[in-house]
Amino acid sequence: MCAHYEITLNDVSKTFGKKIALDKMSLKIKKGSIFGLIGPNGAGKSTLTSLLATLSLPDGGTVTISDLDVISQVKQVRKKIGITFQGLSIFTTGTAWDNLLIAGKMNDMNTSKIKDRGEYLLKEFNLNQVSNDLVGTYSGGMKRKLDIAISLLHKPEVLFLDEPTTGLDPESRNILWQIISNISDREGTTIFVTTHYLEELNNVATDIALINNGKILDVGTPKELINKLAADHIEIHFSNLNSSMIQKLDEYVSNLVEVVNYTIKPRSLIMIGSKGQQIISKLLEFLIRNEVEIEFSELKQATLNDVYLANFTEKGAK
Amino acid sequence: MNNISLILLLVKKRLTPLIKNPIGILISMFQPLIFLVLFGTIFSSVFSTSGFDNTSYVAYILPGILIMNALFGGIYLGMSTLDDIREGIFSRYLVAPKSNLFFIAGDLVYIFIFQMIQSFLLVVIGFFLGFKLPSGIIHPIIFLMTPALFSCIIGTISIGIAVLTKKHSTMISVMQFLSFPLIFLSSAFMPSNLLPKWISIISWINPVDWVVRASQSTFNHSLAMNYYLLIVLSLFIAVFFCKFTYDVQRKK
Repeated sequence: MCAHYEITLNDVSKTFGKKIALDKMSLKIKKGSIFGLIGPNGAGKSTLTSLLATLSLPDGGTVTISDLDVISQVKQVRKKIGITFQGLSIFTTGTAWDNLLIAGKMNDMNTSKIKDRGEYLLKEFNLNQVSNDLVGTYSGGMKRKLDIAISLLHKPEVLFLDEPTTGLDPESRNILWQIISNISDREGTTIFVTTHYLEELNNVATDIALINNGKILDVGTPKELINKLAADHIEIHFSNLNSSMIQKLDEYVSNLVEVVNYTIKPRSLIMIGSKGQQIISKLLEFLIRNEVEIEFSELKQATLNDVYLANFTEKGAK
Repeated sequence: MNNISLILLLVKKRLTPLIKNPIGILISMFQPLIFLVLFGTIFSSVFSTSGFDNTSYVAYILPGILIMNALFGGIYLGMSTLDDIREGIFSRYLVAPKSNLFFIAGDLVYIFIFQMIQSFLLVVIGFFLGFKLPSGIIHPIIFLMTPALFSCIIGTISIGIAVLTKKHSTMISVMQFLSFPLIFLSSAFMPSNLLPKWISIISWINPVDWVVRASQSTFNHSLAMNYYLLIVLSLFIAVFFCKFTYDVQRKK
């Protein structure tokens, strides 16, 4: 029916009392893609994830995963999906193998299949040396790796990752993403991910959707979204500003038409704006005129972070 | 086959901490043990009161003590579910392509085994205080199985309440509210003909009383089948309730 797409949503609505969590949302996610969903808290990310993961039901509209209806064919859908929740979902009084065996049996795998697949995943996630140790003795990063390995055990067609790298150090985050994208490449798994670490998505996501107030604002590749913003990232760092100077600078920047969004702090001004060179010249002139000691200024290409700031943060945040 | 393996793995998951720390089996039956020793000693003189058919007061109250222990054990089963919710395992159960009944069955098999072990230990202690098992082969087995079955009923309800409330404090309130009134509004410690009339009436609708009477009937020639039917029926209703609590987790 729609062989090219793994997940489709048509006019999906969901309300909690008077609050509209999903507002007639339509979305298509390609097979084998790594799809990132970004938006502020309360935008509808968790509601959408829980709906796709068959943990909740929509009020209206249709949702399909691998051409299966998530409402009427829930058992078949569950066989095709894996999920890593925001918090860990492993029992710590057992070993990695105890966890894998239960997860495998929950997905109707026979023991030899669980062993083969488990060994492969434990090796991929570098947990094979500790597979017989109690999970309670693992570090946070190891527990998260095991959690994701469990979600991948039954070779799901779609893997949902709800903020999978929260609480991990940068090195562990990089390693984790490397493993996830390798497995996705090799097995063609579609990955649906929500995260607050946008720079990670920049490196791994094939497509990204911006969501706010239960609506999809935009969808595209990271590059497309950055290009659409058509803006530069500008940073000026200076000596500590007093409150009256911050006020003055705020008034000045807010009147610059090229500025899309900006944040002022006592020691820095971070902006997103078109014609970055012009903005930086005007600002440096303004700061020198007001006897502000400038430490350094920087003009660079906008990133996904800037896309986020431009779409979701209040202009002139302090 | 995979389903049986899953249930056994879930049982192993629950039993592993107890195997590693078997003293936990004794600690969790401490209260019923105290009741057995204290009540058995303090109220032994009641034995001379008319209305008792048994050879000693301990012999009379031991079935009730086993039921009391099963009630506490069953109520605490919901705490394990709360641990599963806290550890996030429960969320995995909810998205698994399996009927929730398998997860409930895992817990029930565990509590059944656990109660059988504890009942056996209490019987051994009771033996030194003058208790004797029913004669024959079948009746002693049924005598030990009866509290275990009862703990399955209470355990299932307890899991359901844990799934619905998701709070330790609520579970503790429910436990405190239910446990002692259910025990003392039954013939666990006193034959119904010696109980005040109003307690005797309430005991008719008290499941603890049904189980105590069923358990006591193992000492007779014929079992009180009507009570056993009530127990089995209650178990089915409890499982149905528990499954319902799992099903409603897929929020509308």
